[in-house]
Amino acid sequence: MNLKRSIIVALAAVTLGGSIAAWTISTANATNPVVSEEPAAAAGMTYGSPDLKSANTLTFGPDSVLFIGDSQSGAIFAIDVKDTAKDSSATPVEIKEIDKKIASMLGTTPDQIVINDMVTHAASQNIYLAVSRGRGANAMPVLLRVAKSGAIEEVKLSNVLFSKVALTNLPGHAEKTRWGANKRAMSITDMAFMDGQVFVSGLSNEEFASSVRRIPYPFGSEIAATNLEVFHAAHNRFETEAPIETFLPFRMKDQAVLLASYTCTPLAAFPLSDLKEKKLVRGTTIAELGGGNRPLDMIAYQKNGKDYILISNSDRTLMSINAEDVERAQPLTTGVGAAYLTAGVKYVSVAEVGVLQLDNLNANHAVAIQRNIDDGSLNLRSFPKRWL
Amino acid sequence: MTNRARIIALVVGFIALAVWSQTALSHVARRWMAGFFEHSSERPAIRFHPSGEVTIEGLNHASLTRLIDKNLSREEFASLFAIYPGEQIPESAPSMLGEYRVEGDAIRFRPRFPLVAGLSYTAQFDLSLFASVTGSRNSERSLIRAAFTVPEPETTPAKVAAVYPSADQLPANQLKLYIEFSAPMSIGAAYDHLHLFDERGRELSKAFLRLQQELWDESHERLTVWFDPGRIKRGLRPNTEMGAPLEEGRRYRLVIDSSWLDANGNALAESFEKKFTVTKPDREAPDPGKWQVIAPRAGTREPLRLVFPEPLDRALLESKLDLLDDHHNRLEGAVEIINGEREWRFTPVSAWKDGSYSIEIDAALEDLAGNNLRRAFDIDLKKNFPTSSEAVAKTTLRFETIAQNDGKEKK
Repeated sequence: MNLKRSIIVALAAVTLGGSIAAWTISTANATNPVVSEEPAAAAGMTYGSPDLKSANTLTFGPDSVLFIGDSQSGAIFAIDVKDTAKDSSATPVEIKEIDKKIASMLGTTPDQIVINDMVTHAASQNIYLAVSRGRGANAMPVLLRVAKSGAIEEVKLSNVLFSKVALTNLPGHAEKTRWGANKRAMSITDMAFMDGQVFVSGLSNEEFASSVRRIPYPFGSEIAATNLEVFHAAHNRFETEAPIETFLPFRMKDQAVLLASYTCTPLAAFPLSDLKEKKLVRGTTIAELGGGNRPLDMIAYQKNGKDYILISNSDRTLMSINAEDVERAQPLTTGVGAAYLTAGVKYVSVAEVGVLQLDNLNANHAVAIQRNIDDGSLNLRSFPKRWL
Repeated sequence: MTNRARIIALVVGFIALAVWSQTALSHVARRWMAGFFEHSSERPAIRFHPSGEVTIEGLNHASLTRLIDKNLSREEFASLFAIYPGEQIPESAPSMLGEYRVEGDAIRFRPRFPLVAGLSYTAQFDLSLFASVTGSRNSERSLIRAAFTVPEPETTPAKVAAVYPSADQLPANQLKLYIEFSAPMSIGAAYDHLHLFDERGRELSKAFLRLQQELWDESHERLTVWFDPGRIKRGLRPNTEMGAPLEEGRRYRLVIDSSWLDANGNALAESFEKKFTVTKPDREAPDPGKWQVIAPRAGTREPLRLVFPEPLDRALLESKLDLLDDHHNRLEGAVEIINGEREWRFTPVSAWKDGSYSIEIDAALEDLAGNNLRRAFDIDLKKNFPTSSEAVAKTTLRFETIAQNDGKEKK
């Protein structure tokens, strides 16, 4: 009897256990993200996955709308990154060997990581990086967010609120050649948001032209961009077009200007009111910052209640310019006498080199991505503004 | 009860308990059994899959069930099972981004980005942390590590297919070069592989404009390189100080070295050399009135020929000319650019009709020195003050096909 009972108990247990096991088979937590049906943060935005081919330039618009310039598709994307954090502190951020950290996260080697642009979200002090993973034709654009704590995370670009404006569809720009593969491309060299408009400077890989486009935001169904040629005073007799490498919308006492620096000529100022009205704007050259160099980034900052402009360079130190000197500047009409000499508006050479990306972080600090010339490392650093 | 019966009952009972313990019913039984299974199981192993997924397999099922209950974040999963590029675990770098999931007896990691051919990856599983997270017994502190190299498919190295302008005489104010490759190239190091030598064999520095973003087409098969415009424009400081990069009457050699890597990481199949001599600077805007139009015969598909007195920009010739019939319909056909970019030929899809056609030329078309139909590259504002950029958008040339049995060409 004991044996029978044992068997019955065992069988019952097996049956019970088996059926329960089958019933409670472990499954991974397959929770689907629920799309919240909230109203679009800005007109014209829809949920979806922006088809970015590259991420070359960044600038913030209203709230947490981030504009991404995509040279490869010749388009500007406006993406709501939903950054609602608030940070009003004035503390710095430091990340050593940021390229190695990013490479590790993206599963590749540091030489395959290109940081194309960096911008700070003013309210949250989170830093956004436009990165290229890989250098070949299969390079992938990646948007990263760097927190003050030093944590780096990917900003997912699927199922986000976004809108897009294509630059190649502008009047006067052939979409594609009818005779073969389209090889035309536009590099977006810089971007800024001011007075409800995105300003975009660009460079074509075919025709030689200088243009600053203005795109009203929110992007309308009608692309209201104006194609502007920029002629600027060079030296002596000749005035020619030249592509803009970096620019900064800047408010002076009596007017707003676009301060632009060039691949081949110096710093020039263009009244923004002219840009809004005219097809052809002639700017004023106000400084020769010294040859053999390309300005990389320009920001406006305050020190002791006064306005300054900070410029990072490919082959020179950081330069700090007093805004009052820009306001008082006289047009430069003659060239300098020898190579590497400077003229016009004076600048202070700040003893920092290798600054590749530059932006404001908070009231007390600017943030930079800097190549260390001693060990070659690439670091994210903060500079106290009182020392700039 | 016999001994045999006792043993059978014990075995069956044990099996029942084992199955029961795997269910979520009895935590006590599960915990009791877990130790037994963990000691009896094989040591877990890391596997790299051709799909790019990485798994740690052979984990105790009960522990994995408890792991699922914990609903770990990606970061917590990564502290258990981390994958890094390279052959070593870096000291202070985050592990690769990707998704984790538990499946069967394994934790699976799917990388966010595809693994790179030729690169090694290292995975590390922290067995003791796994034990403590899942509350199972594991006395030894142990890390399981494995490395893997992604096989590299054999690829044919790219080579330089063409350099434009293809002519061997260039004006002293030559603006652009187009370098075409047979396969996609890597980006970011172009200027290191372009060399310009003068006739004495000295390499000229800073001849080309180094742009932050190299000017590639979308397929990364064509690169646009500019001679430094600051040195070409008259009156600009670099022109005054360093002179134009190219001097009239001299011979030069453009060398593209073979250490340039293509998109697959191969060095170029061979280096490339282009020799040219430099003629006087070209400061005139191209004038379509001076072009020769060699009309085709009606009823045939022979090419329309446009012959230019000077070479024009290769890329813009491909996109800035259009052909319309007398009803302003665009013609479909094939374009050929020959004779050192001095001739543009158009072969229509269907035969030419008797009658007139027009060639529409976008004013943005440039010659080799960047002069376009609207303006010369260098404008002397005292002589020629441009007022509007849209003064001339298009220029049109008309021609009539040659009637059949009429052998004469029309201009």
